Amino acid sequence: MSVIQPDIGVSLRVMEKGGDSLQKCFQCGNCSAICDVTPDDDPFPRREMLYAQWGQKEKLLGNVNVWLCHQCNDCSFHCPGGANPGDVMAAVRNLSFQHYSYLGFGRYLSDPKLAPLLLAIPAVLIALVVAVGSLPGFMSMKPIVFSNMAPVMAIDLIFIPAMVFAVVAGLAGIIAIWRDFTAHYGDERDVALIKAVWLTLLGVLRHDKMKKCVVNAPRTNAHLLLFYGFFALLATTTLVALMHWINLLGIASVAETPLPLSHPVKVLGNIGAITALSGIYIIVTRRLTLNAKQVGGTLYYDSFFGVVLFLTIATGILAELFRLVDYSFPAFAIYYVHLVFVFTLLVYAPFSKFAHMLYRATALTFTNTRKRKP
Amino acid sequence: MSDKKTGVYICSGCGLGEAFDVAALEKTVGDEFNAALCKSSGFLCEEAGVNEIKGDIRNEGLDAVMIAACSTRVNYDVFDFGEKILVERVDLREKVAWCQDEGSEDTLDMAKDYLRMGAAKLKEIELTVPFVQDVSDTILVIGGGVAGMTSALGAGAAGHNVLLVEKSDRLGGFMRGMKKTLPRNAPYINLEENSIEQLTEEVKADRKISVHLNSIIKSIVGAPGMFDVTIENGATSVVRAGAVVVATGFRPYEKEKLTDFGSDLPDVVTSVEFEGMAASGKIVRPSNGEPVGSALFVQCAGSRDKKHLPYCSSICCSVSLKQALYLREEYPDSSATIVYKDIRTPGKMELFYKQAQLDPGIFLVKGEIDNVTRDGDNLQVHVNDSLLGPAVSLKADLVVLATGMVSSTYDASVTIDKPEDQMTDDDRAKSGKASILNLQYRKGPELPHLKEEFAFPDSHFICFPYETQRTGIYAAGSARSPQGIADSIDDALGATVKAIQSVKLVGAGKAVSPRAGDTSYPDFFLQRCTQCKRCTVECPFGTLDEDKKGTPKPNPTRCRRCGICMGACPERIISFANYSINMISSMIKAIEAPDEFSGKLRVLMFVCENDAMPAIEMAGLNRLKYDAQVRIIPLRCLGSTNIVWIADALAAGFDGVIMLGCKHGDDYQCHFVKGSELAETRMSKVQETLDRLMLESERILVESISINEAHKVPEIIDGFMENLSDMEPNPYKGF
Repeated sequence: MSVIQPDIGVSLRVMEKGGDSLQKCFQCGNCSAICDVTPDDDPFPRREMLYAQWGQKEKLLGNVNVWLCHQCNDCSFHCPGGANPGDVMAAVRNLSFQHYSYLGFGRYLSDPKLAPLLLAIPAVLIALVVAVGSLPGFMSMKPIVFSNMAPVMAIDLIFIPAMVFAVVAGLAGIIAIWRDFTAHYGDERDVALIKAVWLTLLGVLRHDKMKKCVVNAPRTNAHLLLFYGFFALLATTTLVALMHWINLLGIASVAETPLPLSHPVKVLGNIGAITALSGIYIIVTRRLTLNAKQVGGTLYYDSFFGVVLFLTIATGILAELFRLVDYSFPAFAIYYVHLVFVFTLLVYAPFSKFAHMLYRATALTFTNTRKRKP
Repeated sequence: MSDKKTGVYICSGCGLGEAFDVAALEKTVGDEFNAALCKSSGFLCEEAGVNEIKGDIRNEGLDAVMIAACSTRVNYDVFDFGEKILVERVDLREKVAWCQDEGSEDTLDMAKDYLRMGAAKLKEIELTVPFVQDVSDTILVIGGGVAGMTSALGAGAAGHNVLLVEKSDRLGGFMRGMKKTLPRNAPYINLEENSIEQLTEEVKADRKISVHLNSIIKSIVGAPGMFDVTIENGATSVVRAGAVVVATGFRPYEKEKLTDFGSDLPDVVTSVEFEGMAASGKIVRPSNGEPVGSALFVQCAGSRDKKHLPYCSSICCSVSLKQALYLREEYPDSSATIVYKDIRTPGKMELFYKQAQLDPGIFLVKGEIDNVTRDGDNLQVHVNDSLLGPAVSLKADLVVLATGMVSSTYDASVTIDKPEDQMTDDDRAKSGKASILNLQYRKGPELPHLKEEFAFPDSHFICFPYETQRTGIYAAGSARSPQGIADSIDDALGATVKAIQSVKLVGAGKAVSPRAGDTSYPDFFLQRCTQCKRCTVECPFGTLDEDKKGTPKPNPTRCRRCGICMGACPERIISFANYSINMISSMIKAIEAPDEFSGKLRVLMFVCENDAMPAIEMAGLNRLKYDAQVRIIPLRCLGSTNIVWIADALAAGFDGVIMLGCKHGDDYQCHFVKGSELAETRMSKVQETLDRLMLESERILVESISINEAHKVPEIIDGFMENLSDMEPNPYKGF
């Protein structure tokens, strides 16, 4: 017989993180009945609502259901008590980020007061790169070449260790949550891990789960645009860096930045940016015009991620445009800002809302190793 | 129509003229009835039609009119020609034109039969003369709590003198001990200050109300309008009252019986004890006087539980939420946990629940309490099947048991020490009843309870709230059914209105609900009475007393005019001026039964006019068709069926009889409590007799129907006809 102690502290934190309607839940279970992504043999979010009301932290952390939820808001829309289970699940996920993020960095990304500091770090680092590595008089050199201001070598000196830190932190979070999932549900697997990863990958690429959403259905296509646009941009950046190192190490001679507009990598980047921006446009306009019951509440940590993502892409495009029209100062200035946001986006990824990708994929993989079918 | 000068009016509007040949009907009237005149109209209820009837009454000196048109349920005000004119409504619309084939011979035969039945009825009935006596319009209110005081103020405001009898030494009842009360005003989310003192002052200041403290009712003799009430408070005094409101409240269910919930542990209290603690100033743990950091409220402690009270008291969930707020207010860091079977906060209390729920220090969970044990300094509550897990344990400093309400009219200690088969009706009437009214009635001193396991003196709660099974006596507040203050106030006013109606109607010689306004009453031809006591026993309202020999003593003001006594009487000595054994027998005999060579069956239907008759008429309204061979006779209550009518019907060549009454049983809809049930019992005996006479007992069908089951009418009738068609025709045909 387990002894249960209610914990007001935990429930208050859930309420503070967007689950303020939590107390309205009276456990009718409409949410679990309406949810299309919930597993039949362990339906959510009804029980998670009760755990949240009672502040049962250990039942919420390591709870795979919290991550299987894709926040369609079908539940919130149909909730007769106005308890918005979708938002409560999001709030619980936020507490979960904070808990599992490496060294607890997640809480800094959820605190609006720390935003200037978080942006100041890359701003100073990139400024150092410019101060130390830029070619003298780069501003007046024609054609505009961004690496004249921030040499690839110098940037990578900062970026590569920072990304290693991000990857390690991400892995640490994944391992921590996987360990808790196992503690909750046992470690007998029905499906090989590699197969489970493959199933997850396929599911994510197709957005299988999100396609089941009803109330917030248009979000699925928007998210697909953003998802593929973002990965096209990530591929572009990675390819450019690779091309640079291939040249540098003398392996072969390939095109160097600035690439002509017709270069396949440039084409990929530009299409990716437009795709991602259209996805963001749809998501943002829906969030601004529809009520929270349909699209979910928007909190600081949602906005932080969204704004950083948008500004990263927007500054990239703007910098490119100013470079093409040959306006040196705005081109370099915006490129500097672009670098700051790229750093913010990627290096803080395991601690920001971006990490939903990591934890949700982990939860899906964990579920895919069981017969229990979500 | 022998001695009455009768005018017959046939309407051909509303499709009647198309359904059958009105001229043929007029011919039947002319050939068969001794009517003074017979007219038809295309629109009888129109002003011209009505004026013509009025003119005929004036000019021709009619003393009875037969309106062959629509149902008696419509246009009753239009076809009212004053007290001196007998009116018989023959329903050729809902019961013929709208449920039968247009223009067929069977339809015309049916219409003719209904005219014959109407004529036979008119022949047998007389104008009623109300039984008027000098009555008191004083209202006796028993119980000085919120319900009793509200009732007294209401009756006083309506101009009645009120006797308010309270057994304790002060007014206020249960409510006086409350710290705060549940919200009774919009937006129904805030607890309210206890207003009992203000109410008490109003009662004291009201000159119409005479308050008797420290008083009990020693006895009540008489009948509505004429209750002689003996009040005892040291001395005794006798006062006369016209009607009674019983507002004696509730008792909390006994804590001692709840040891499964740890009621023997010092820190386990009932919600009544908790309220007392809160009202007196400080919520502490009784064991050590320490503050309470966590309280756990156990809902349904001994309620909705076969071992204890099987019912829900409706108020305990709201009370626990209220008390949880007391605790949270006194100790802001405390937690209040509520373990419930279901949160039941009826009506506006839902809004209060939703508000209280928002307090993050109030934890609610559904579950079944397994037990409560002491764990060192704390209590540990084991909960099964909870939403938190199949078996969990919760800690608390204090456990509050939300115990249910028991009607003060119930007293488990009053038991009759006899085996069940030796118990008399009197014993049964006394068993389990607290001494409150001490009625000097043949059928026991107290109000009958609704059912054994729900010991409240209610009547049917939807159709007849506040009415008890004793005429002129109305129950209100938590004595009537479990409820809180807001409902008790509504209840008190409702019961008071009923009590006022009762004295007014009784004063005019009229029946109370459900036959409100009926001026007929049963007449006993006592010379032929055999003192069998069946009438006194079967009357559900305790109307009849008996003398020593067992001869019934009618008390017309207690009577509800259902005619159950008339149906019960084997000597057939009970009748009403406008409702009698002979009247129905004549109607049966007036119907033409087809002979055995016609191939047609004939079926008689006795239909209760309260729920079954409206259902049949609604079948007509919905144009549902049923067999043309039935002839329907409405009865005041199926319980008034005298078995001689069955004999009459079979002798007259009817092939079968359907009896259609209201639903009976625990959730009865019978307007006279037991009428349809009694009819069914009587008929089962008739069916035995039929079997002995080698007549198929299936020739008699007893069915019950709800008012909203019009769709079942064709099923019942046509199904019965189909069964009958498998049998030989009634062998008594033609004898």
